[in-house]
Amino acid sequence: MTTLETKQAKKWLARLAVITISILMVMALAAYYLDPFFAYRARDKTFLLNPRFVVPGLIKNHDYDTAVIGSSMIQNFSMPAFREHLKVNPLKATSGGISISETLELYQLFLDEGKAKRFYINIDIGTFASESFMDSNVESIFPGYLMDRYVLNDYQYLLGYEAWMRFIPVSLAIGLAEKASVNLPEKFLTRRSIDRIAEWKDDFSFSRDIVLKEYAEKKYAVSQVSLVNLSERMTENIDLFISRLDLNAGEHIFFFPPYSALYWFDAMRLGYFEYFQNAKDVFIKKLIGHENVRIFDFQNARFIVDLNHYKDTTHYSPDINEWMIECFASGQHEVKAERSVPGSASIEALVNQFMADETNAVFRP
Amino acid sequence: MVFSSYEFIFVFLPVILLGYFLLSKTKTTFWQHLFLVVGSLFFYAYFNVYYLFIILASIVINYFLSIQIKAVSVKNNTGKSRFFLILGIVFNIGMLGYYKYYDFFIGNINAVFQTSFHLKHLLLPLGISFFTFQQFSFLIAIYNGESKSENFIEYALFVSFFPQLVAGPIVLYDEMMPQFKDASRRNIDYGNLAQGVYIFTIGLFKKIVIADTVALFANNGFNDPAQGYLAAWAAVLAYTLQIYFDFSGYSDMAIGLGKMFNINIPINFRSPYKSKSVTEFWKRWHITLGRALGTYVYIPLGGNRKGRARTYLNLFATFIVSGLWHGAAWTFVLWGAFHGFFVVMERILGSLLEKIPNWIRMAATFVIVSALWVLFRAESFAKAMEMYSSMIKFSTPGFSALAGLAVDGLIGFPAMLNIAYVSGILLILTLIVFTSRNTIEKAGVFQTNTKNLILTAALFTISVIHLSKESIFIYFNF
Repeated sequence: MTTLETKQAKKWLARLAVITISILMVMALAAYYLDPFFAYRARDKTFLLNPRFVVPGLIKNHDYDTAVIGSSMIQNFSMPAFREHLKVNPLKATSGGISISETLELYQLFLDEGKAKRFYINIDIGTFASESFMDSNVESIFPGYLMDRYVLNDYQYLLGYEAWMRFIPVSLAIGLAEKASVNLPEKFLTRRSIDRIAEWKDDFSFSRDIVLKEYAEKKYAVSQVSLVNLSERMTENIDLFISRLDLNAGEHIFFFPPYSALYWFDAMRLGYFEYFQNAKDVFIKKLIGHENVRIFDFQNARFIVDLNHYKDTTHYSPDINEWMIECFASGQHEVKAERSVPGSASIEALVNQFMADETNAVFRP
Repeated sequence: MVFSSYEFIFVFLPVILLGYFLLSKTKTTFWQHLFLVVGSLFFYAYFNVYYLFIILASIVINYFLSIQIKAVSVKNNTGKSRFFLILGIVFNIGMLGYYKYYDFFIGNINAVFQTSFHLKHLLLPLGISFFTFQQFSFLIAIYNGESKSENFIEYALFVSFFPQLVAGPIVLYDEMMPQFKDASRRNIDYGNLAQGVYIFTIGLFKKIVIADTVALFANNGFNDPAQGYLAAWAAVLAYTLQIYFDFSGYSDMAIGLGKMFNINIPINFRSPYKSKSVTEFWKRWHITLGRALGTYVYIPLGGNRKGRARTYLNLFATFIVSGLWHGAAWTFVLWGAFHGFFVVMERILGSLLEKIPNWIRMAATFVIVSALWVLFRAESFAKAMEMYSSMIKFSTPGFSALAGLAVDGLIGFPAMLNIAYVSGILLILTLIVFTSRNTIEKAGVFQTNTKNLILTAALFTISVIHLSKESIFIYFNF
């Protein structure tokens, strides 16, 4: 290689370094300014919201005094209804199919921020059957670089695929289309609302026929878990979960969502019912009586036998969410310390009623 | 550590380049080589520390055997020399067999004899098929007197040189070591560095931007194959493109990295989908594997020296071995067998096929190779059959299912937009593989001009943006 060629190559490499570093820095600054995942500031009705990416930022930067944490069971909760019935300022922190460890991750983030005075926490008792709870190898659905306060790993966000290839361009395009008065699908507009984050009620219909179809395709309503040591495993997981709570940090309202009678029928058929109900009783016994704890058990609500309230065996319609909020206000379905009859008995009675109905004969084995 | 990661691009590579060329001031190559070996082993151990012990054991034992073979050869003790070679072959095949084929073997015994021997579910050390093959070839070269090993560090460098360690190209001792020992290559060469950066960047873009984008379509399609023939064919096409851009992207990165160290790593891909026959495909796809299988399987079996029928049989057997090398499952064996079948058929039909217009031959080869990737990709034979059944079920087009291929759980786009996205990407990439020049052709005319500067900066920046996506190279599994 001649001296001239070496000089040219050196210059080319130096220019390449300067250009790429400059572009990347400009992009990082732009992402910091736009901040589609609210890691530095929360702005309503600006960006399309995917809970996986924005919930950590919302917990850090949004204005709230009440945390509402849970799975798809809470995603149709109306935040205005919380404000109206419970006189609180809520923030919904959710992800579909959230695990217990992810629930705890969000809970811990709320604790770290110290803004929440109340915690509404949905308990899907089946998730305590997990064999990988607290397994550090199981990756969280929430990206680590968004969950922490460590700035040095923010490059994964500021120069990240999700921000730059998805949410920034799509959100900007929607904003421009809106300004140009282009008719956009309603869901694009509602999905920018912090109150309505992860809401799915408009994407589905709720009826017995739909449940029937879904049930026929999926075969089983209950996730298959190993029955070996199930009772011990669930108790151990519950203990671990409770050990991570700081009950002095504010009022804790735990609630068990109203799955359909068909779900419980399947749980009985597959041998999980007793385990799940016993685990629920263990959970209740360990927490009931604490001055900062209230527990609501909606699982024996009478409507669980009517599949017209459901889209599948577990997911209920938004009017049920509304009713649950009213229950939080009225105390209906709240579990009292002196409860003598285990909750399972009433669920069993409802399942029997459900299966006795001839129209539900199709579900019989 | 994978090439397409922040830690590799922004920490490991700059540190190792800087250290290597700073050590060029030392009198001999020893410190440079040692530095590269340590760096390469760190690169390997970064995946899993446990792997380090396996590769170290493999290097030490193979080196010891090579010394023994050489020592007894000098004394013309052919019998003993042969003994050490056989020991080496048994050791390497045994190691590969234990880690890669144990469960496959036991699983088949259990199935045939209704036994219930325990499967070990061993963690397959990354790149074991590659570094075992290289060492195996080295022992044979030593035995034949074609190579000579001089010291342990050089041997360890030949096996562990990080650009080609995990997924090839499969290199030979005699094409690598003279380059490492060449004093004129010890110092930084800015021309090579620029060309290396250019090739690496193209490879990075091919992997992290193109392959990982179509991987989504392929994964969605193969996860739920019964969505109609349009979605099935789109998924198969997506995988056809994914595996090419993934593996050739990796090879480009390896070649680019080698170039940065003034080392020429052999070419592994030469626009394989432009092939006009399956035979030609194998001369353009994973070229170094083809070379190795030809040398160590096909020729020892007799090659084409024992008559026509035996040649066909040898070819077929070589492809069966190729299938098994790729994976310990009957789907891989079948994949290899079909390739072998087509290669043999092409030999038999010979000049008859040449009368067919080139574009028809090229299209037919592409369809055959793509369809056979189903066996390669599917998790089981039953899943492969499910996909094949969807591909020919013309009564169920499943146009709307095309939208499902683009679902990534980030933003729910309207179905028509997803369909346009999937179709557009697949069409553009298919055109690219048929018409565009490949990386090595581009690198051959590379100049440090403004056009290449802008292109490299753009590809690199876009690639960096894609690094936050989790991904792994397909060929790491082999």
